[in-house]
Amino acid sequence: MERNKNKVMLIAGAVLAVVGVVVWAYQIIAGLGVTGITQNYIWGLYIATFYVAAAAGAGCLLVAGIKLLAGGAADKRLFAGSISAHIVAGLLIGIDTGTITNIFSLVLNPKFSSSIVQDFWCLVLGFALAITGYVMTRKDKNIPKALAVVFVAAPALLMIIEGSMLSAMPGHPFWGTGTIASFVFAMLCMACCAALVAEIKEGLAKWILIAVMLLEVLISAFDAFGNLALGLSMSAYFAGEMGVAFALYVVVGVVLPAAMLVASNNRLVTVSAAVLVALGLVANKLWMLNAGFANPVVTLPTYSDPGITLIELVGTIGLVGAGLLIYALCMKEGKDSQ
Amino acid sequence: MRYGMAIDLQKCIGCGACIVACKSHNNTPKGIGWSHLVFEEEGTYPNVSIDVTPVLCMQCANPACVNVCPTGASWQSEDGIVHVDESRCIGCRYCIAACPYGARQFMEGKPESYYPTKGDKFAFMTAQEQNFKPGIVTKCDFCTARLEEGKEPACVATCPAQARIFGDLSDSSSKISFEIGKRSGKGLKADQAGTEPQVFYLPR
Repeated sequence: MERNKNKVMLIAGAVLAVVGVVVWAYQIIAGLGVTGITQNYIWGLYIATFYVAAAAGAGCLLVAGIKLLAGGAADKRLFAGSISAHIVAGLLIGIDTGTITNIFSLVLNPKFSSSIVQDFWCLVLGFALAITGYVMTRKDKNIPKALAVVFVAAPALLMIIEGSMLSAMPGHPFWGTGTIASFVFAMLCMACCAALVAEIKEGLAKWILIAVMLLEVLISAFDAFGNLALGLSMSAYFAGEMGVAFALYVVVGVVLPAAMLVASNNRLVTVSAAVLVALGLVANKLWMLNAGFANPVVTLPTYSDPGITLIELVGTIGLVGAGLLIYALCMKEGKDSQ
Repeated sequence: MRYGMAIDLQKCIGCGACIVACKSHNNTPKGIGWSHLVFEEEGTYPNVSIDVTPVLCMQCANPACVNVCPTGASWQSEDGIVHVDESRCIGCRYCIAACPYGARQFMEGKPESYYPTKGDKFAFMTAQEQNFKPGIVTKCDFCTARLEEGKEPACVATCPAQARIFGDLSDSSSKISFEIGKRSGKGLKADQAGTEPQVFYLPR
C-alpha cells in the first residue's frame, strides 16, 4: 500500500515537474511579463507560494525538533518534507527572478545588510539542517538534543526575517503592521499540518491549527482595518481580485478545513484539510502582497490591476509537483535502506 | 556636490513635456517611464481644481532601494545620484517594493515595438535592446550622461514653464538651495516615506 502510494507520488511528481520545467523554459524565452506581473504588482503567485513553501519547510523542521525534544523518535517523513519544501521554495525564487543563475549572483555578490540575503542564508541553513536530520535518521544515528534545539530555533528565525523583509519597507506601509506575526502563524499552521499528516499528536495539532488559523484571520483583518487610516477604501482590500483571494483564503483555507477537522478523524479528510490549509495560506499571502502593492505612498497614473495568468498557475503547480517528486524519492530511498 | 531638484508647483502647468523629454532622451522602452505626472482633484463642486505633481526618482539621501538591494546592484554615487548596475541586478524587484515613489521599473522581457505591424527594426529599438536587458530594474539617474557633458537633466532643460530647478544642494549659495529655503520646499510625502528625498516641491 505504502509502496503504491509512493509510486503514485513519484509518477505524479515527475509529470508535474516536467510541466514546471517546460513553463520555466517558455518563461525564460517570453519574459516574466507572461506571469501577469505589472510595474506596481511586481510579485504574485510565485512569491506567495514561495512564502508558504518556506513556511512548510520551516514547519516540518519545527515539528521534527519538538518531537525529538519531547523524547520521540527522529521522523524521516518530516525531514523529507522539509527538504522538498525548501527545494520548492528555491525553485520558486529561481523562476520568479527569471533564471536560476540569478541565485548564483546572490551568492557571489551578497550584501548582508539586505534582509533578502539574510532570508536566503536562513533558507540555506534550514535546508542544510533538514538534510542533516534526514541523513542521520537514515543512518539510525542519534540526533543530539542541541541539534534538536537548532531545528526549533532556525525555522522561527527564518519566519521572523521573512516577515521583516516586507514589514521594513517604507514604500508600502500596509506591510508594516502584522506581517511578521502573519509569517510566524503561517509556519505554525504548516507545522500543525505536518503533524496531522505524519499522525503526531493529532488531537493537539488539530486544535492548535484551528486556533492559529483564526488568529491569522484576525491579524489579516486587523491589517486591513488598521490601514484604512492611510486613505484606502475597504474595497481596496476586499473587492476585485483581492477580494477573491481573501474569500478563498477564509472559506477554502480556514472555515472548510476547520469544519472538516472538527467533523471527522478520517485520515483522508485530515490530509485533505491540511492541503486546503496550505492552499488557503497561498491565497492569504497573495492577498497580503496585493493589498500592500495597492497601497503605495505615491500612486502613479500608470498603475494597473493585478492578475494571475495560466502560465504562472501551471508553473507554480509544476514546481510544487517537483517537491512531491523529491519527497517521494526521499521516502523511496529511506524504504530501501530499512 | 549633492545633486537635487526643486519643482515649483506654482509654475508647473502639467503639460507633460518632461515625460516626453525623458522618454526621448533616455529612449525608454514601451511600458517603461521614469517621469510621471500625478493628477489629483481638489475641493468640492463648484470650487474644484486639479493639482498636478510631477514625480520622478527622488535620489533619496537615505534610499530604501539601495538599502534593500541584495547584491549591491543599486548604489549611490558621491553626488547623491542612485544608479543600477545592470551586471549585478538579479531582478528580484525588492527595490521596487521598497521605493515609496514608484520610481523604479522592471524590464519584464525584451523591449516591445511601438509599431508591431511594421516588420523592420528601427534604430531606436536596437538601442533599446542594448540598453534595457530583460529581467533588470531601470530608473532615472538625473540624466547622468548629460550631467557629464555639463548639461541639465532632459526634464529640466525642456520644461516650458521653467518649473524645475536643478543644482547643488550642498552649495548654500546655489539657486536651488535659495529657492528651497525661501519657499520652504519639502520632499513629497517625506515624513511617510522616511527616505529623505532630494527632489523638493515648492508649494503652490
